[in-house]
Amino acid sequence: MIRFFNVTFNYQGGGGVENINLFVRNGEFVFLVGPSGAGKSTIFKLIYMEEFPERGHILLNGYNSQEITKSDIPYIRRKIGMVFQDFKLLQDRNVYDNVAFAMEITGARRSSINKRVLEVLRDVGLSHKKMKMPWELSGGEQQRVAIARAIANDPFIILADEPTGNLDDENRDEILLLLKKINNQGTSIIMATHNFEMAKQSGYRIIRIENGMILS
Amino acid sequence: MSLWYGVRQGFSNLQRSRSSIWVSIFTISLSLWLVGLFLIGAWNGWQVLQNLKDKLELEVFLLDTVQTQEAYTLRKTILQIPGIDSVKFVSKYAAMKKFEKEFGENIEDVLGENPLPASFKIRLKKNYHSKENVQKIVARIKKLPGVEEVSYRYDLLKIIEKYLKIFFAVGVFLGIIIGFLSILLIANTVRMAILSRREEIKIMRLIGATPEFIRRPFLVQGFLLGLLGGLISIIFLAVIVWIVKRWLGLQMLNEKDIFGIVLFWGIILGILGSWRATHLYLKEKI
Repeated sequence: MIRFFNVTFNYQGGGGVENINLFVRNGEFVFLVGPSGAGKSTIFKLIYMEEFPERGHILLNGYNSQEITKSDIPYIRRKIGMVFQDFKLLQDRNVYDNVAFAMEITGARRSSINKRVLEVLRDVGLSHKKMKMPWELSGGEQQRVAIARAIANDPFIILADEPTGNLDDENRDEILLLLKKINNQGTSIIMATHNFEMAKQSGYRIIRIENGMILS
Repeated sequence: MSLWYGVRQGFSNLQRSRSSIWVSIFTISLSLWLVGLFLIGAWNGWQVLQNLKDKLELEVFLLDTVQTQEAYTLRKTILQIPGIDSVKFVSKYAAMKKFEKEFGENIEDVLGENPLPASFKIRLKKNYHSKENVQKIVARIKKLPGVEEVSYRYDLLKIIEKYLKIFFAVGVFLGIIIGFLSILLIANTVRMAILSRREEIKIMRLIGATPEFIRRPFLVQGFLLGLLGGLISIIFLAVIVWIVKRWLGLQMLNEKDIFGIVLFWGIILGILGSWRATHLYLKEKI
């Protein structure tokens, strides 16, 4: 569950969000739609606590942004899966290691890492490419690796920031389908996009944001 | 598990930027070598001084009026003074014989009499070599009947001791200055490694790695820099020690302890340097 209470945050050079109230239930799939610079990424940064509200506060799966300490942040982030437009894969590691890495940082045992990595790679349909390097994969495949990494630690929510922005239509549909599948298994998803049509077709709830303010 | 990750990545950090790494390792080892030389010099000088001190004797010259029997009583009295290890009696005759042996002339034949006084050669116990203790003992002996003069060469030792202390202080001072510079150098090397992995660190932070986890490979890298620097400097030091032993014949040279200190110092510097670099970088937003 994510809840924003009258949250305001401004960057020094301009931009940010103004007095935002927002509520995402457990297991919900929500689109965050708006042009670039509207404040979508800022909302994500506030959720994964790279930034903190200047006014207002955020409730995040039991944590309150006003009460958490710096040392809590890594542990909160492990329960938030993140997917980016530019994938953010480690270029010097193969597919398997990129996914395993998300679990290595939690100090998980090697045997449980191995089992889980094979599971999630199967879920995203990349079992056969586990030894490939990121640059040997297509954009859609790279994004599927990023999604596999995002779900490896069983997050309660996935934040997908323009995950299909760099992909063609076919790959876009595939990624969307994959995210739906993950959502059906109970993980909340917030997907940011500037593509209003795609969001509308999906039938999920849409939050429209512009100039740092929520329109609907 | 995650410790193993830190060690693996630390090694890989070393491999990635080979040339700059070797420049720093070489500089570190050169600095440590210099510190090691000073320490070996000061340490061994100190040992020699202690040996000299232990061998040093007080010489107590007796008045010519003192008879042999009185001398033996005097010896017993002296032995009761705290700090006295042994007292050896040298008669007038023995002193003359020693003179003859050292100078090749019988002084009695030359002068018609033996002017050399009888004396005691006194050794002090190990812990009684300080200036204050020696002065106390000398004062007590001087008061005894039949004692003409007490001679000792502690003044010279004091001077040597003073210069050795200065030498030692210079070594320590140099160690600190060089240590500080090495920390900066290592910090810089590690910072390069951090910058080359900036993207990776950012991703690690985003997916929930703790600062300690991110820092660990760089600490391992710093540890390795210090360790390698220390080992290389020990090799250089060993060469110098070997040359000194071979050509100057100073077989007693004690270097093992210094090797340990240099290595330990190198490792400490390595860890401090990389800690500084990661601290500066990671204390920004997480």
